Amino acid sequence: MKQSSGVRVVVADPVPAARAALCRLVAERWSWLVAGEAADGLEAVRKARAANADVLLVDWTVQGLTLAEIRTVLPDGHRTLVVGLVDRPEHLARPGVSVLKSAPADTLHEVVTTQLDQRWAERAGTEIQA
Amino acid sequence: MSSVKANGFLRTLLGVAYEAPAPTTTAPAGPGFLAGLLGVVDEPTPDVVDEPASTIALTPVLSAAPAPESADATDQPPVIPPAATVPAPTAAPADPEGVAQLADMASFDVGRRRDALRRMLTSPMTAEVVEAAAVGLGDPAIDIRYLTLQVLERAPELVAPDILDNAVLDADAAVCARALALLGRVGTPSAVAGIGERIAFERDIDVLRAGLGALASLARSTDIAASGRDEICRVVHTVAPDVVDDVSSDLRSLATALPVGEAAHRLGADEPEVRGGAALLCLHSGDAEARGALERLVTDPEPAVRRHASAALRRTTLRGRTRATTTESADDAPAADELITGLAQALFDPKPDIRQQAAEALRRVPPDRLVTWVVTEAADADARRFALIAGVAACCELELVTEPVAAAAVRLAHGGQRHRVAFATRTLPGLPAVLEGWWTSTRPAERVQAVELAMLVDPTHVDALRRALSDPNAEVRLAAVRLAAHTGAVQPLLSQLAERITEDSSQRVREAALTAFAQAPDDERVLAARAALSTPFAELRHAAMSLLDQGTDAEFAVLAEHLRDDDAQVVHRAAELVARSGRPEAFALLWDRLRTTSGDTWQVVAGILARLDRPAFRRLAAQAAAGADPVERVVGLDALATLGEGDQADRILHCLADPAVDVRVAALRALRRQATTLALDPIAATLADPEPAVRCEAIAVLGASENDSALPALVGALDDAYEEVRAAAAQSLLARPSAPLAHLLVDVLAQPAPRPAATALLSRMGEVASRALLERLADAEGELREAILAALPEEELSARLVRDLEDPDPAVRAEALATLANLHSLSALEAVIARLADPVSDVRTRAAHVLGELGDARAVHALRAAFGTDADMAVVEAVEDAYRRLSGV
Repeated sequence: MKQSSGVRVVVADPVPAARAALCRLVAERWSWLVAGEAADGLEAVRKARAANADVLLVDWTVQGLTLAEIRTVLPDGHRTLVVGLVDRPEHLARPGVSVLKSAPADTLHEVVTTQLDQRWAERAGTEIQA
Repeated sequence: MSSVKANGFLRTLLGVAYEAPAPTTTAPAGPGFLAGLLGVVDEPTPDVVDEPASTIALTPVLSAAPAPESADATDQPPVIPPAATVPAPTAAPADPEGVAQLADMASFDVGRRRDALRRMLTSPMTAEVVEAAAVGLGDPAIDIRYLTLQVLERAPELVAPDILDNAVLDADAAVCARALALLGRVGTPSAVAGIGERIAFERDIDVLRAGLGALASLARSTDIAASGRDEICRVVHTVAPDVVDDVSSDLRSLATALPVGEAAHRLGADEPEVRGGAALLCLHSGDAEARGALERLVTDPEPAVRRHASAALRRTTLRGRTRATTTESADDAPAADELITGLAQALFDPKPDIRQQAAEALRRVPPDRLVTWVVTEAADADARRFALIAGVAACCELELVTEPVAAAAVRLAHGGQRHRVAFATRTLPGLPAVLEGWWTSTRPAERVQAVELAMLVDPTHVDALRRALSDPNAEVRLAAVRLAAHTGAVQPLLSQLAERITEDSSQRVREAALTAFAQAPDDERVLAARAALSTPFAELRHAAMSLLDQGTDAEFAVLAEHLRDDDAQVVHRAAELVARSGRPEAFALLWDRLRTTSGDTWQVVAGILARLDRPAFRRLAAQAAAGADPVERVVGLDALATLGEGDQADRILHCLADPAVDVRVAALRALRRQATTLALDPIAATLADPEPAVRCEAIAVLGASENDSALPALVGALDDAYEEVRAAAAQSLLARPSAPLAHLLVDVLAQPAPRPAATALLSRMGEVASRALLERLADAEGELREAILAALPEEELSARLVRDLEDPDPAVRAEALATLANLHSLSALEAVIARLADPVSDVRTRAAHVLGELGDARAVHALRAAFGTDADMAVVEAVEDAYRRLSGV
């Protein structure tokens, strides 16, 4: 697993307080780098792409580009992992990585790190084969 | 007791008709009676051979005949044996020796010949006897020839027809008649010609009757060919009219002897003789089936044919009338109409007797049938047919049909045979009553008919016209006016017609009354024209000019007066007529008018003057152009302009500096016609004239020059201070679109003031303007570029820009995108979207910007895709901006 301190995260939430809380979670508890924060989907994608972010934490209520549209613009193969923060359990059934906002913070951390490990492993395997 | 008819001479004595002897074996009645009557001698001598048969002929014959068996013969009225009642051959013993002797009978003396023939009357008849007896037909003695015929009549079956050839030509009528009768019994169809030849034009009743009887016998007993039947008709045709009645029974017998329809069939023969004979036979046969053919013969060129046909028809008419009144069959109507038509035509036959017959026949036709015929025919008759109709109506005094016939006459009177119709109309019965009825009718159409009928019947009946001219209805008055003109009755109605010109409420009546004065004397005509010109009715005033073209003094005075009329058309016509008058004062009069008029009238009068006397016109124009009065100078210059002569150009150019505005304008106007040959500088200089009218006229001249050198000046006039000058310049330029002009105008786009006019002109110049704009667009900047873009038609520009988007040069692509952003043309949307994939980031950025400007949601998908894929963050930001604009975020 890549060193936790190397993970670059962009946080997108239309609610400033929530966005601030997420940033504190990412930076202080997880010791990851907050590469940018956005209030809507368009800004989130732009900042994620500009910062070459590893993770884009997106609240499902963002405007401009919806969570689904963000996943289209930044598909699975993209460098940036899009993690949706949803309110209802049925949202977890939708395509893409999502975590209930009611879940513990450790759960979010575990989901993100697990996905990142998988990506890095796949990327490393691809690089070895190349 | 049988009634006996004797031959011709007996008839003369006894007044008894002759009848062809029929073969009989009865014994003759008393011969002695005749001998007693005649007192004839017993033995004729050669000296009395030429004596009339009445003194010689029958005595020997009758004395040889046996006495009648009747004991009462002497007490009975004298009876004359029929010539054919000769003793039948008895059973007397043959007399070979006598027969042999007969062969030499020609050598016998007359007495012996007579005796021999007498014996033959009782002897058996053989071919030898007939042959011997036939010699007697050539005997000089009449009685012997007659006796010979009697002998031959005993055995007609043994008689060869040719032995009678001479006998039918015998000089003695009795012999001839008897021979003809015998020939009818023994002859073949070939005898028809001989009989016909003998009795043609024959006036001896006995001979004629005998011949007709012979023909009838032949027709009954033999099959006569068509040619023979034609010959029979020819012969019949020769029967003189005054003896027809005398031989009517024989004609009837002959007509019935022919096969049914033969005579009727020959009514249509080509030969008039055959037709005439057939008609005469039909007359006596009463063949109703021949009616149609007979009616056609009523108009036959041959009088005799017409006579026979009319007579036959008369008889048929009587029969037909009887049938019609008894059956009332509708099938008779067409036939009756044909009959009436035929009889009507016969009313006009050259022969009085035929006309008389036709009239009588018509009067026998039922009146209702006549009325129906007349009314039906009158509905669509022509002039010729009308004469027939009127003839029938007059002949039969059919007052009932006078009104419809008169109406037809009125209708036909407008055709080419008015006199014929008039002549026939005058014969109609009860005409005055019909006329008065129409006069007093409440229907104007009938009052029109009244005046037309009155004038038709009597063209001098002017009172009828006066009455109609006072009618309250315009149609009646109009009819009266037209009739007055048509019939030449204008003179007695001048005052009334003049009133109609000025006072009538109907324009048509006024104009017609005026036109009628074309036939009036000069003074009256001119007065009428003057009266019409005094009215406020334009059309009437125009029509009045047509009455003033005779060139009289009175007319000239009126024309001169109306050269100043308010109505331009009147003035134009007056000017033409004044010029045409040839009067010496005409030119001065017209020139004077020229000085006081303008517009179209001026042009017309000037043209007339130029045609009237061009050199004089030129002199006056030049003098006027150099006159002291500006008005005169204008007139002169305009006149010079009319002449359009190049040698006056210098004189006119000199006037460009005239102190009077009108003169300068007139000078330019004069130069316009020769603008293509002028140097333009003096003209262009007038564009600086302080007067806009002068500048406008200068523009017109420069435009007329068709010289590209004038374009800069004209384009410069687009910036004139006066709208009318600018408009004139624009109009002049637009009349000559060209590439040089387009480029000039594109350059003008750089100037704010003339820009709108130049843009408007360029937008109306089509392809040539687009090319010039696009060419200049490549290197235009700033306001000029903007103006060019504004001037370019959108579709042209978009097409050009879309092509530029594919240009290999990214700068061109970028520039095109920049232009499209300003253009806001959606026609290039797809091309712009495609530029989101441009290899150059700047182009992609501009494309995103343009899409945001265009604001079309069709670009959203492409923008979203580019947002996630474009590597250049500047592009991504531009895409984001565009996306936000399109999605409203």
